[in-house]
Amino acid sequence: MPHRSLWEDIVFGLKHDVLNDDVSRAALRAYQYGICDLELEDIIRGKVHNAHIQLQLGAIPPFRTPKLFKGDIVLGNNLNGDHVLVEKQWLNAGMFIGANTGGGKTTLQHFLFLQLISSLEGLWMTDLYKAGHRSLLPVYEKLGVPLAVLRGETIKLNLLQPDGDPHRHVSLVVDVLGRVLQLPSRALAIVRTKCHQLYTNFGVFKGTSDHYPVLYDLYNEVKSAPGLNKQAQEAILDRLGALLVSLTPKVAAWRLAWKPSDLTRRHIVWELGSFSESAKSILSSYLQFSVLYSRLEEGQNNVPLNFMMAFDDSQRYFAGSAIQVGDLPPLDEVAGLIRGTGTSLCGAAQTMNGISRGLLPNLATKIMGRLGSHRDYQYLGADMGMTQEQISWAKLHLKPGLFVASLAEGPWRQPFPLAIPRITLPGGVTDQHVSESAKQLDHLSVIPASEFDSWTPYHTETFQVQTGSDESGIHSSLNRAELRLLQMIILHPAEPSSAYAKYSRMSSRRATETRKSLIEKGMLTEHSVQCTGRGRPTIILEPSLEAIEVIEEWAGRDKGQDGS
Amino acid sequence: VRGGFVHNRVLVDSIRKLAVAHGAAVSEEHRVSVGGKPGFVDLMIQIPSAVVVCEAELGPRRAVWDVAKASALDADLLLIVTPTRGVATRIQARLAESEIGNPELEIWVLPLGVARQRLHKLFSLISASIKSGKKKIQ
Repeated sequence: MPHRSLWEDIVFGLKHDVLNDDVSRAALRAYQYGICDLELEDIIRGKVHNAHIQLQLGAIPPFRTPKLFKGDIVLGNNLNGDHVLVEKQWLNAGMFIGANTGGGKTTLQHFLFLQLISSLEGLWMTDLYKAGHRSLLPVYEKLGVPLAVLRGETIKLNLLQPDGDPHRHVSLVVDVLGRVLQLPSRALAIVRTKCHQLYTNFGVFKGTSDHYPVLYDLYNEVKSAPGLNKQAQEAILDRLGALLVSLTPKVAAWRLAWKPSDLTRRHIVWELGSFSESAKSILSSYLQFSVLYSRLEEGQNNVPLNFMMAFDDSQRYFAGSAIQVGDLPPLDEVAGLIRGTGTSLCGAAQTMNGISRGLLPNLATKIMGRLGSHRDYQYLGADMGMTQEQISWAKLHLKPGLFVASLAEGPWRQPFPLAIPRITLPGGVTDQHVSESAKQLDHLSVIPASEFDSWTPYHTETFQVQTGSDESGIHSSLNRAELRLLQMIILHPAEPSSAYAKYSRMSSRRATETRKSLIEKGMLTEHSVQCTGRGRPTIILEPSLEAIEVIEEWAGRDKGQDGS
Repeated sequence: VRGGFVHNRVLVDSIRKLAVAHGAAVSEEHRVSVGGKPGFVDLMIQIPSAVVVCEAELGPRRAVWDVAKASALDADLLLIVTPTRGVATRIQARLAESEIGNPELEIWVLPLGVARQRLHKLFSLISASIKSGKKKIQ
């Protein structure tokens, strides 16, 4: 056993909280007064010696017990079973919880939310995949606090509806669209121009308050605009179309929709699991940015915590948080700006893989649960200021309900183990129960954009055969290529379909497309005939009677024009 | 002319043009009487040594009646030309079921492409007019 001075033993004992019992404290006090005899010294050395042995065996956690005995909320218990109390205001700086599946992230969030229900003006809990937060509904009902659980199809949002300054909002929307849809710069410039154009057309800049453009208007505007760069236009239409298909008109086609700033005074569970990743990301980003900027516009700065946004399983959402597209700062920086507006951002993720390096500094309170890989422990442990010894202990000892926390504010900045009591929430929250809870938002005024109820990104066209003496004639529905091909089919009947490309002087690809179009319009019928001794059957095209009439009329008109 | 586009413009026209190109005498919609019942064959092709009756069929329904008409015309060969191999197979099955037989009548049931090849060979053996010709037959 190495020789150590009594002073070294006392420092070690205090550091590892082995001199907390009454006898040890009395011995320490005697030492301070200079009356420590050999018997008292043996008491101190004995405790410390035992602690050394237990530490070598890994039986003592290499953490100091936090001295956090005052605060509004219980963060959890320390390993001695005493409450760890923190000020609610400390959560203003954001919180990050990292724990793999079954590690107790949701339970920890519920434990905190239950204490914050009555003191927060608004609380948004976003379930990006699961539907775990809806189990809080019976608790809210018992407390008499309204909680709305909004499933995908019951959400009514219009991303182009400004919540404050329209100029700022249009920048916000363009940036969110660019970030989520990963639009190239030229496409982004087109989106920005079209959004401005829509705002001008709808009078948004002049102050309209109940009739806003919707994303479907933007899609149509880009689609119908002539002379745009083809690649950029297609990039927008493909990605925006896919997004709108996922969102559905039921969610996103509202001339007047809910205002995010109105919703911040409510307790809401957003269940976004039914949406695609891009739709989840765009809705979350839109809500988050709208709230931030509307609060900044209201002049809120360094106000007490009154609103919290929590994202469960936010791995993918936060993974793209560092992308900066346009004028606005990326999500990483926004997470930091939020603090001053009395808004707390709480994110929970299963792994650190992909989480932006810029995000963690702005989610200042960090809680580590049981993780799945060495890299995750090292990554998060380093950001929490844990030593290698502490990280090694965490790898071996963390389990569901047992975490290591480090606080952003307050007097105790060292990491410490934190045990969360098991919470059993009443289950059996049905979809009907959830739908009932959403009805409390029915009184908010909304105006649907019903013209997009049956919207589809695929081009559809109704072909109507016209007869009689209409000046435009039946062939007005056929373009020149179709008329030319049809004419050749009638002039050279019963030849293989491939022959008509040459007759009508068009590429075989274009001839095939034109032929298919004519078949869809009922002008042609295809027949398969084995015209040669072997190989695939030849496609023989039969013109319909209408087609023959159309071509006769068209040819006659062309002849008349040539003659004149 | 009876029949639709494929029957008239594709099958019958194709065989007719081939036969004419080889110098055969071709009679379209040739009248025939089978046991007092009137009928027509699509093409009756006469070459110096044989009479060929050609019928274009899109299904097996009239196959047996075609054999009866060809027999009534005392034809040497009945060519039933079809758009696809599948239709030809069904017609062959129908004829086999009906057990109709005429030992003096040879019956070919062939899709258009093969029918044209077989006729081409047949006419080549009989007619000298095509020996020098490599002209594409329309």
